[in-house]
Amino acid sequence: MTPRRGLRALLRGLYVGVLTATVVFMLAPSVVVVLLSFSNDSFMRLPPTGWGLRQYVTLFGSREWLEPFVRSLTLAIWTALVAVPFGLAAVLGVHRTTAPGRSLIRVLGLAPLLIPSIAYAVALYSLLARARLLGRFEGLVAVHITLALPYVLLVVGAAITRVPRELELAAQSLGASRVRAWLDITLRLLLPAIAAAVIFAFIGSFDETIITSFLSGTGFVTLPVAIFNNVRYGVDPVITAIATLLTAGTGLLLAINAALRRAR
Amino acid sequence: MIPQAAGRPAGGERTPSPEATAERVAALDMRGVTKDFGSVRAVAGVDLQVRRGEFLTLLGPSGSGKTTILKLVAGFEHPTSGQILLDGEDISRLSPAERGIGVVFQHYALFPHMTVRDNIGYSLRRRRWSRERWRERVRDTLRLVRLEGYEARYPRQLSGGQQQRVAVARALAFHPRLLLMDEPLGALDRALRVEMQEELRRIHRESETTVVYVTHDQEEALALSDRVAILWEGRLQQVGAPRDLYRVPANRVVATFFGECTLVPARVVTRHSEETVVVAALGRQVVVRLGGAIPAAAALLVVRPGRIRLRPARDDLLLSVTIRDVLYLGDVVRVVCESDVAGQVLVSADSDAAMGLAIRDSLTVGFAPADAVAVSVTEPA
Repeated sequence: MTPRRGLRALLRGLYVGVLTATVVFMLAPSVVVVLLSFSNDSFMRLPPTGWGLRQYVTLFGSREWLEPFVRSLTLAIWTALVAVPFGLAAVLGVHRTTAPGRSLIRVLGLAPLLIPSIAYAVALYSLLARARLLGRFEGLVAVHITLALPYVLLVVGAAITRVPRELELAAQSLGASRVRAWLDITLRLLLPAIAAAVIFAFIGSFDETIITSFLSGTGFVTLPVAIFNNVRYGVDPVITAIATLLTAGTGLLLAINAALRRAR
Repeated sequence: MIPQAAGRPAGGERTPSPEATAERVAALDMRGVTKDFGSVRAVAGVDLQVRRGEFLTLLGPSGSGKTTILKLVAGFEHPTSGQILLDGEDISRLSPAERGIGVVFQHYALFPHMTVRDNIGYSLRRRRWSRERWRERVRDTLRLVRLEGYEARYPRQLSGGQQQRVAVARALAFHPRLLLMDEPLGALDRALRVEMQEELRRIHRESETTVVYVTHDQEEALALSDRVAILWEGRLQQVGAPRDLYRVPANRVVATFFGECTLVPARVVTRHSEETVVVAALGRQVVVRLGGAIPAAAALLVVRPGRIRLRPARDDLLLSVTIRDVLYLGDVVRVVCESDVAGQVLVSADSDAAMGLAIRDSLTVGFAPADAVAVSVTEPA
């Protein structure tokens, strides 16, 4: 074996090692949680003494978890439904018009992503307190829409750069009005990105914990906040079942996204 | 010194009969069209008439304003001042959709999510043609561009040349009053480009559409056009049949951009006639053809490579040169020479006549005064 071959084998070993470690570190906690959700113990123990669906039975039998789940779902759906059309309009305005302030929109739109969550949470707390919107759906949905906008701007904004302006001009020269050209060509070609933006906005809202825990008070406790509170005062093994369901749901959405991407 | 001769028509264009010309309103008529982008004047006072059924090429280097003119005609941009008339109707304020002008884009701009059929039929469905009618028209246009049977393909399943044909078919499907083409062959390799040039000429003949074609490639302009309009820095320099532009360039820009030439310094002595001038050049006074207005005494004689003789005739103007390079191109030979008076001298000669020439040889070449055209030294402002 020549020295160079030895080096190559070493590098290859290093590569496989780092890759494996990364995958294990990322996936192992999730795998443990999924395994634990099928334990029949009344408290968390690894390995479990018995296997079964006890956690799932408890979960679906209680209202304690159902209500936060419905709240989170409502919040996430509204967030996606409002943030995506808003973001889409902003992207079209930034990329397809000569309106003034376009670069400002571009920068400000990404601000929620750049400001540290905890700082943002404190600021929003005082704002919503003054507006008497703490612990209310209206306040939280407004905040979640703001948080979702950067994802929409990034995903749809990246996609529109791959739709040449000439396509719109071509449609216009062929007899389409400007609006018609947007609908038939640009919007149609952005559909996969729009679907992805809906999914990201939905997941982002459903998953958001830090800022929401500041703002939810006692009136509008979402699922992640409920889990967070539950874990703080002792560990109910039911949360492993919730976590498993959430993981499965998110995975499903991402799979749909990937399938959409492949379709076009 | 010499009065303007620019108003003189270029002459010798391929015009059919005088009656037809009298009847004709120009298909496209641009009147004093100017376009500013901020402080940059992209197009400066362009007056241009395109006849019905004509194939006219806008030729110029990049940044000369040719693509801007195309956008102004298509309606993607609006002129800062001036008027654009299509079949006698002022279209300056109409939207692209209302103009009914077909456009072929440089990168085709086919709709990637639509089949060939839907791409070509798009304009017809916008015009609410019935399904049977538009589908039949799609078949007809596909036959015109020789792509029968490709209806169900997507653009990404086609080669560059095929996409090009679909783009042309799509722009022609709705019987446009005018077809604009923006360097449509730029993205194709050389062999395909030559083939597509012939195809475009045939399609132009068969569809009887008026075409305005934009390119920076003078060979392409020569091969395709009935007339060529040469643009430089936003201004129209000369419009005419390729042969006339080549033989009688109006100024130095046209002479050097449209084909190769040798430029011999000269002095204007006096105006001789409407189209000729007496100049002093290479130690003699001769009468030569006037290309365009010459505002000062200093002038240049433009001589094409094929008009310079390695063995001068009796009355030729003579140039002593040193040979820098000899390129054999089959039947003809290009001899690149250098002269103290005229700088680079290009000679295109018969292979036999050039036998025995070697690099660094000194010799005297010549050209007939009748083969020279006098143009201004300075560019027209």
